[in-house]
Amino acid sequence: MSGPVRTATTTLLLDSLKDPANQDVWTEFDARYRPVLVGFARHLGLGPDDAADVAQQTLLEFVAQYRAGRYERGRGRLSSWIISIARFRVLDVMRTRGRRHEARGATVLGGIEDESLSEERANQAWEENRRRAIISLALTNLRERAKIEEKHVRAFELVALRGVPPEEAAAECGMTVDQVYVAKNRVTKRLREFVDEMTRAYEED
Amino acid sequence: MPPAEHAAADCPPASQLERFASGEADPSVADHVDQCPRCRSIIDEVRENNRFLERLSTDAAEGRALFEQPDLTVPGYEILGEIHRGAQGVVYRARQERTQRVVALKMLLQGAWATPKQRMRMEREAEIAASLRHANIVTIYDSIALAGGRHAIAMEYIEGAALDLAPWPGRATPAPGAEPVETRASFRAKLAAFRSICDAVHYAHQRGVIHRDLKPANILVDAASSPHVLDFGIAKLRDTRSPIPTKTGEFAGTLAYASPEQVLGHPDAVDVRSDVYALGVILYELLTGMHPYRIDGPVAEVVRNILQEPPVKPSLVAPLVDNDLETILLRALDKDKERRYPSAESLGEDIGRYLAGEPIGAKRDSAWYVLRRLAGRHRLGVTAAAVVLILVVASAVVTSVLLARVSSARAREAQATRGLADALSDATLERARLLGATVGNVPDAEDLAWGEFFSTGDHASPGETSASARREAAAWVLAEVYRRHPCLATFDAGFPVLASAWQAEGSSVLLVGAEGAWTSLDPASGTLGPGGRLPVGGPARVVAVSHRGGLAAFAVDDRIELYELGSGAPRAVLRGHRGPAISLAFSPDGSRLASGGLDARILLWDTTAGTLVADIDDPDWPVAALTFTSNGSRLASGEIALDDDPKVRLHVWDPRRDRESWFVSGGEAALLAPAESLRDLAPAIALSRAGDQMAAAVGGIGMIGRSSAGFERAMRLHATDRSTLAFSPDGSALAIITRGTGPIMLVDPYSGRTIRELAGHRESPALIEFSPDGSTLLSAGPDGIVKLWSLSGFAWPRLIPPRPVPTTSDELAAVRSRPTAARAVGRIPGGVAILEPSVGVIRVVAGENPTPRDTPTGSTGGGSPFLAASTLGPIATADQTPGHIAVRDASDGTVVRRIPLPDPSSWPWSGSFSPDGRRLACITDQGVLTVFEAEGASHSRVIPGVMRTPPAWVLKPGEPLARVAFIAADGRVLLWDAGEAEPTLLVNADRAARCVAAAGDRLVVGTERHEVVILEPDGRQRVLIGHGRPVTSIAVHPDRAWAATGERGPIARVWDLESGRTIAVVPTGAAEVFGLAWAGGAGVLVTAGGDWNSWHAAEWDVDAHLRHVAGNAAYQARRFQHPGADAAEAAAWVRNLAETAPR
Repeated sequence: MSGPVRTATTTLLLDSLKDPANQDVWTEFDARYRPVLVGFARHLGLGPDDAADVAQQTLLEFVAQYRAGRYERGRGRLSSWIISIARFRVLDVMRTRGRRHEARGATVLGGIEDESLSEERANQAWEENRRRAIISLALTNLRERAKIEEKHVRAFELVALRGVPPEEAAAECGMTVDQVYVAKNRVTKRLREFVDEMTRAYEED
Repeated sequence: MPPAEHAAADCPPASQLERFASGEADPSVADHVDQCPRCRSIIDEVRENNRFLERLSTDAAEGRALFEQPDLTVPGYEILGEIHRGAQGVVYRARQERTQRVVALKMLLQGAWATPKQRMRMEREAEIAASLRHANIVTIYDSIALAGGRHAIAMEYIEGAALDLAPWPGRATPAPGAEPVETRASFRAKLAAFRSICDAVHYAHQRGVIHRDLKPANILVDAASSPHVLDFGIAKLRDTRSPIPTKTGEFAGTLAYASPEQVLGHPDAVDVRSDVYALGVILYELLTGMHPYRIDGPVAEVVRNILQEPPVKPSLVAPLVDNDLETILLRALDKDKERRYPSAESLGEDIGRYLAGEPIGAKRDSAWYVLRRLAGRHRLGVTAAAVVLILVVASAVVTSVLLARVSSARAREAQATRGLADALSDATLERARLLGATVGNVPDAEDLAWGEFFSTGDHASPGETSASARREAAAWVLAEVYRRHPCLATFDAGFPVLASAWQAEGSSVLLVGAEGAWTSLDPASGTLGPGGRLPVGGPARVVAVSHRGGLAAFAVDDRIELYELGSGAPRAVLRGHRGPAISLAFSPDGSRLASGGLDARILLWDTTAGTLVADIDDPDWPVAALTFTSNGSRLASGEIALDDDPKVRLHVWDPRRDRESWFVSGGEAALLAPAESLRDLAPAIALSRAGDQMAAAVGGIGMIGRSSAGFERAMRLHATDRSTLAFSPDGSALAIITRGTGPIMLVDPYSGRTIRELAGHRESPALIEFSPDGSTLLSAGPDGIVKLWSLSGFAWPRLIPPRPVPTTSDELAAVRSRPTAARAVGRIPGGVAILEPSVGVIRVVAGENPTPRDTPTGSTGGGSPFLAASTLGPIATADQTPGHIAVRDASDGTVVRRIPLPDPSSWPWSGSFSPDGRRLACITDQGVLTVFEAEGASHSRVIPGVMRTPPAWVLKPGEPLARVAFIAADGRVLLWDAGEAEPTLLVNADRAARCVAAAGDRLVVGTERHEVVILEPDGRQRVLIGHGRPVTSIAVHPDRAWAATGERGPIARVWDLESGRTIAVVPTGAAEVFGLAWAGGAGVLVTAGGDWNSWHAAEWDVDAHLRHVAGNAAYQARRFQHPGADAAEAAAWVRNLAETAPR
């Protein structure tokens, strides 16, 4: 599998995942969920290293359990299952960290479970980061797959994402203001399509 | 048509269309677009694109940075690097472009991640700290609002280390890499720096800022060893009424440095002395390298240490700490804030004196104080250990009570012994109250309070408070403990209880142990028996008891022995498993027994015939748990595989179907838990009555879910030990015990929230079972201790509902425009009247009658809370117009007559009837007191300048006429005969009286200074301390033995007027108590309260509480084995107390 396509259906992914030899599907699965998991853990207050660890442990644990036949679709959403694993991993890190911090007298605000990691909060974190991952994948796809001229993507980024005035963007990209507007709309439209595509793929979860 | 294709010669350029799409009306473009379908489609698309981009940018602005790392640009600052990433925010090193100075820039992690509360804290930090300018306080330069509600604060950048990590000058390092060694020079450098910290904190205190989170991490020490205090993020402004971001009960701060008053969660109790305490901890740590007490345990333990554990003597740990320094430290760390340094300044000054070699100001505990400690050791034999604890504690919430009493005892030297004994008894009981009702350590609270209860017989020497009074005081404390943890009764079964079964009708419970010992328990009478011992052929691995038919099953080796409990006769021996059975469950009707074996089979037996009915061999793994739904429609099994990869699986079966269909479960749920935690564990499972919900606990993780949908909720249980679960019959609660961790938890299975904790078992029980009606929970443990808990009808206080929304449109409008409020209560024949002035309704409630009766009065003008009630009949209230009092018939509220007020423009505001009901003292909204003949024929002269709290009638023995006690606007208490003579002074203005009531010829006065003052007929004053806020209302019990007092807060207290002891602390749940009244005929206190706009009325029922004490008396008496601890006598005594309690 080449390039960040990530539009295989979850069912297809899961089926293929049963085959330990299928490295591609693992890559695909990993690419789909790792960024969400890292964002999820960061969102819940973990540092970059801890978040990366949580993502790694969660993915390994999930795949191990899945291959051992302990997860069956139909018994619950895939994302719920992953969240439940990830949530405990995050809690573990928080506990360890909490202990370290308490010893030094860092501020403790309420109980970990109560204040920082309610199920609701975990789900919310997941949703937000999934959305973020989708957009980020869509942007990658835009650059790698959309066959759009680089300077058009650049013009889009400047105007649509960074709020640069079109005149400035035009100057930077060597385009006219009208061309900048045309590029902005063309790229936006493509991005919308990618986002819709990704969302459908993820929504199967 | 995509915009790129836009090329028609006469169409406007893309930029014009774009502007048009975003709303810039250019008439020429508009005209064109009207005509040109191509341009219209382009514009539609542009708009759609823009909407999409807007969503993206909204998300981004809220912090959901979508495209790259969170945007770190802060206008006007150049980020140089990250300094620290904490729970509340990230701190960057940055350059302020305007000034080119390097600053520390503190920002919340990301806007969307910041809760409004965090943001509020952040903004307050800026607001408060920006006003502080001190060499030892980190200066705030700037507060920057960023897009999406984010916020950054630019502050002084200090290059340095946290206080506890600072390299102190003068420290010797014996070898490279070795720990530096303290020298006198480094020691003094630390003290000097600490002195500066005290100055800084005092400076903030003077400006109304309490830091509340002082800790080494919040103090940076620069290269010159100069300290800088930072992080005023959770500081609380003194003397403001602005909403405080920290709710009552929520702890915001650092546990390790928190003062006892902070961990008790009363924001109002936190003052500058809380910072003094934190400074004490910081200094202790700075000098000794240790914490004054252990802070590395579970939170509950740390809290206990903060509240109770005396600091380890610093001189023992750090040789450089001498006597004076130790005195300073211990004074700063006193658990009782009253005994601490009153300010950071005084602490700093003592450090200064110490450094200068001058005598310090702090004094060691007085010899008297130490003597009092010693004396205690010889008094209370039974609770010797407990007393030692109190002696070292002598602190926390209760010390003010203790000290007040002790100091008066000191004054009366002749009674010193008695005062001492009483004070110690009080301290023990108050500590029990604290432990049981606040901390939740019920077993220790029971030890203390029951110890007092039973120890009194020995010590009642002349002059001491009578044994009975002390016993009574203990009983009331216990009532309060059992209110929080409603243990109805405790029994000692005498054998480890392995199985229990409520009999179907709930009339008795059967309890069975491993070796055949059994007993029955009558929950109604609270008695054990009959019981016996079955001839079981060996210790059973598992035991089960049926809910009907009195059967017990014992799994012994590879057989199951079935007995009839009543006769003790063997019913059958069931053989079928290959290997031992490891789980058993009777069907609810007792006709079937399911057994699960190591052989991975579930067998179903007919218990009458003793025959095998079915063999469910589907489970692949040993069946370690079995349970039926209470209607018998489902059977759940928990199977566990203990091989290299231990795992658990749960099944729900339908046992009513034909044998073949049993494999088809009504819903199968698989559960997988982290493998490493499963070793040696069996799952705990519970099914709701209908089998539609299942709870499971495996490997320290609890899960609740619908069997068909899998597990929807997971919660972390406290330990990775085995748990026990039970659903309440209606499925609304799940009871959980995690062995080894204390209380039974009642959890709402829908939300996972804890409903209630039931603490009391010293050793975690192994089984819990709800009574068939769900009103009672039984718990029993391996120590043989069985407890019954009341779960319903035990709300305390019971809330009296506001009256239903009125139906007439006028009233509806009134309700909508002015929320109802319970503003005043008064005792009337057969009950209590509660006035709801805004809509003009009197609700009449009575202890025996839970349904309130409403009497519409029409709204009482100006919202006057005037309600004078009399047990002789009439009620007086304000009327709809000013200038007169409406006297009403208590039964139907009709106005019997109107009494005109001397000032026709004033409203009656408070008042009371004389004991004979013939006169009415009334105070108007203008503060004018007048006494009327109740018939309205005449009135006294008027006394102006009176506080508007209700006057009290005082009847001295032998005097024909009662006199009126009232409070002048300046806080004096005056007595007036309602004649021509001037009122006489009873209590001067120093007391700042706020309310007054009469108990015969004794007066009870509540003060602004949180005191309750009892004024004896001979003029003697006794001060009762307990309230933490101004005392605003008083109701004397009709028999005059008790008084209830309400405060400008949620608490009402009930006092024994003779002994001055607290009978009960009643949390009314209201924001403020407006009025109280004792309901006629029963020991029920009714409180009216709220926050001026909300209805709140509640009842406190004496009997309900003592019932729990009585239920535990016999068991505790046997436990104490004290000469005075006769079980039957104790129980009878408490019952008698309940019967004779004032009512």
